Amino acid sequence: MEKKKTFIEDIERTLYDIKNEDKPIYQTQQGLTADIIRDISQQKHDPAWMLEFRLKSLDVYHQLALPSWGPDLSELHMDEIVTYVRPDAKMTGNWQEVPKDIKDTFDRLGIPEAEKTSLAGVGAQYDSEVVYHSIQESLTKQGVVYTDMETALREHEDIVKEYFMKLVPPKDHKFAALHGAVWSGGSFVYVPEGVQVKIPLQSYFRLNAPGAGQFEHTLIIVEKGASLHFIEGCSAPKYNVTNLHAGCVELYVKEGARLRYSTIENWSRNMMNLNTKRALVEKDGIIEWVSGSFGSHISMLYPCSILHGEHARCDFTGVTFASHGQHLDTGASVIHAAPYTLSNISTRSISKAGGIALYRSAVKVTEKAHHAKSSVNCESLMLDDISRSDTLPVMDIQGDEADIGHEARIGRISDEAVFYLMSRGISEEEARAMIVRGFVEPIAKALPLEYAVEMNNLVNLELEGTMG
Amino acid sequence: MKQEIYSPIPERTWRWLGVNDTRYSLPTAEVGSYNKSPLAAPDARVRAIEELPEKFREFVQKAENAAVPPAAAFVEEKKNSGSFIEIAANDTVETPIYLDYILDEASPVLVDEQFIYARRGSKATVVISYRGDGAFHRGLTRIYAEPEAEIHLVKVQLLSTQTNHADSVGVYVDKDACFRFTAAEPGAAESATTLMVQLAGDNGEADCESLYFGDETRSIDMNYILRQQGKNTTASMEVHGALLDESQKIFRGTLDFQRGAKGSVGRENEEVVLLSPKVRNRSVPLMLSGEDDVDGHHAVSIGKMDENKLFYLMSRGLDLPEAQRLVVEAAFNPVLERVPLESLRAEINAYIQRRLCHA
Repeated sequence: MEKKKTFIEDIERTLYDIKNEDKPIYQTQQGLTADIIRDISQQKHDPAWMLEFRLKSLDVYHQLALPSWGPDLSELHMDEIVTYVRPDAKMTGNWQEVPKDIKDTFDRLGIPEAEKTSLAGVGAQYDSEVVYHSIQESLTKQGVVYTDMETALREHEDIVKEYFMKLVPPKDHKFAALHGAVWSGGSFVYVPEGVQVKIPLQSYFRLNAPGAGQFEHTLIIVEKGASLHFIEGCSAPKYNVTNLHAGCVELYVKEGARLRYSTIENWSRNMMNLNTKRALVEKDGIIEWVSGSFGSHISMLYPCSILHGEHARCDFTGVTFASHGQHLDTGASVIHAAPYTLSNISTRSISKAGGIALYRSAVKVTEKAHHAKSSVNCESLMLDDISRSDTLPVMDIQGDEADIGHEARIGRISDEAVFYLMSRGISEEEARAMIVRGFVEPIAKALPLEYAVEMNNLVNLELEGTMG
Repeated sequence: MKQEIYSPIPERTWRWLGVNDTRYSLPTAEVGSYNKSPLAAPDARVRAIEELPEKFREFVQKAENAAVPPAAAFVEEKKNSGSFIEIAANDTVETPIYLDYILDEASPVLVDEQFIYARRGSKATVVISYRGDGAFHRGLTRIYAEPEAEIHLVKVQLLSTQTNHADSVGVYVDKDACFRFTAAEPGAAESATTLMVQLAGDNGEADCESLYFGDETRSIDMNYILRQQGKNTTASMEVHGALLDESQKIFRGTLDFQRGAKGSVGRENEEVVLLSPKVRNRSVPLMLSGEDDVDGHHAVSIGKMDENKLFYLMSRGLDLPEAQRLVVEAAFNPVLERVPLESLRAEINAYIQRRLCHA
């Protein structure tokens, strides 16, 4: 008997694909030269050290080769990418002052509504610049700083200088160097010692200009005993030319602090998403990553946690959904660099319609990290035989006082499970939808409510026949 | 010492992890002759590799998968021993065919090329051991298993800690055929081994169990790839290891479900016991899939010896080293039990116990 395939709709993209007229007030030439870097730096009124940093990063960029592993990046032609696009809007703290077309875009994405109902602060970046930033006054009074990176560079230059690209140095890889040279926009968060930010902050990044790159820098410092939940969202309308996202996220979680960093990435299918995220976690600190990768043409994204202090901990929860034309190479890495550190990595991936989902990870336990514990679990669900699902974990363990477990599964929806549910009176279609929802449920549970709803839309399946 | 790529991982990853290629030091000693017969008694099924009929070349070619240049080229060019073993159709060989290579002062270098041709419906076990004290060994074994054949290859390597060892096995498994692989390779200073099995036909089976043991400053590098192409194939990889002193090891185990391998099942499990604070263990369990109708699972467990087990054994009067030896022996037993020659099994056990006593 021929087995029928389940048909699963692509993510509803209409909302994200509405594009505005591309009318920047200023943009650089295509490509990457020292003159372009100077131009960006001048436009942004950088201090001298930042210009120097950018130019050094450009040198490093030219010295480094593309990665010798991972997805094919030959479609990326840096000579054709516009690295800086200034929208026709000034940064404001008043939503009504945001130009109408940009405001409408963020309205459609639900950002102001979310700010009213469930966020303590919001940042919105449009192309290369942040156009809106706000934070609840009560947090400001407690010394919490949440602003765009340019403002931070002006008003908190010492802090920025101390931390900026120290965790992800430009020589780390070619796209870190590129970021160091052309970065623009992004958010800066500083949570003072002992302050608990109970309601999440959210930054949303929207790239509207075709053929452009977005290189926002996010720098978060959570001081001793403080806590924060930060949400990052990103999307772009689809164009026929390649867009590039090479952002950089640096997170400093100090002693006893806790940071949850949630991302829902829904870039359009012409986007190369080559993003770098890293956290340094001190003694008794906790970093929690919740990462949803649904969009982009190609993604290379592996948030890294360096567990630097005793009893530091990392929890990574990720879901990846790869469909037609997508090659999503995602995962996580953890460096256990101190005793009694703990990491848990849990991922789910779904591939369909020729999509490629690859889970890549590294768990490294250094000699110093005695009594380190790590548990990795990844599960992959394939919905047809034209897609791919691969897992490539590496464990590198030094010393004998470590406890490391790794488990991975790959497969399809089990006929037995469907049969069981049907025997309880559930229709076959609903049974299959339930199983897929159950598959991603551990991830949905870790998301804020509104994103869990978005996830549910993702698995709002149109089912037909049996999975086979 | 100059290095060369021996065999690459099927999907590359971060370079800083150092696991993308199995590398080994190029031998510096001259390849002289190896004039001893590895067979205890003549066996009509075993001929010199030079006597391989030209008409069988196509089967050698099919088993070529493990012969990743330049290792294959090196062995083919420099070989100083080797056999062509043919098991006739429907022949069940009760007694294992045993090739025993011993390196010594007179023959410090061995480069062996083996081809095993298991004809339709045949059943046989081939044991190849490498023992003694020499300079280096390079080996290449290819196997072609015709439909319904059952072939069990046992590789035992007990070379001295002065010897450098690199061995490669490539296997083509036709429909309804079964390949079993048992490897106990605790010897040599540097050891690099590759196993590549292609389950080409429907209902093919690969069942692989290995043990490794590292001590002093030894380095062990293993690259196992089980490629499932036919429908309803079954692949299993079970690896047990123990590391002590300053030893290092990399194990890459790949289950590769290719498109069309419908109904196939793959299992991989590695368990590593860490016995010293200076050891370094790298485990890379890959699972690749271009087919949805498969069931794949892999698991890795790395850690210290179970303290409850040790405590129990010590409560029965054993001291700590004795208890540790017993636990390692218990972990290795399932692999050792697959070695069909009692004397060889005892020798492997004694070899490991002796080295554990040094710890």
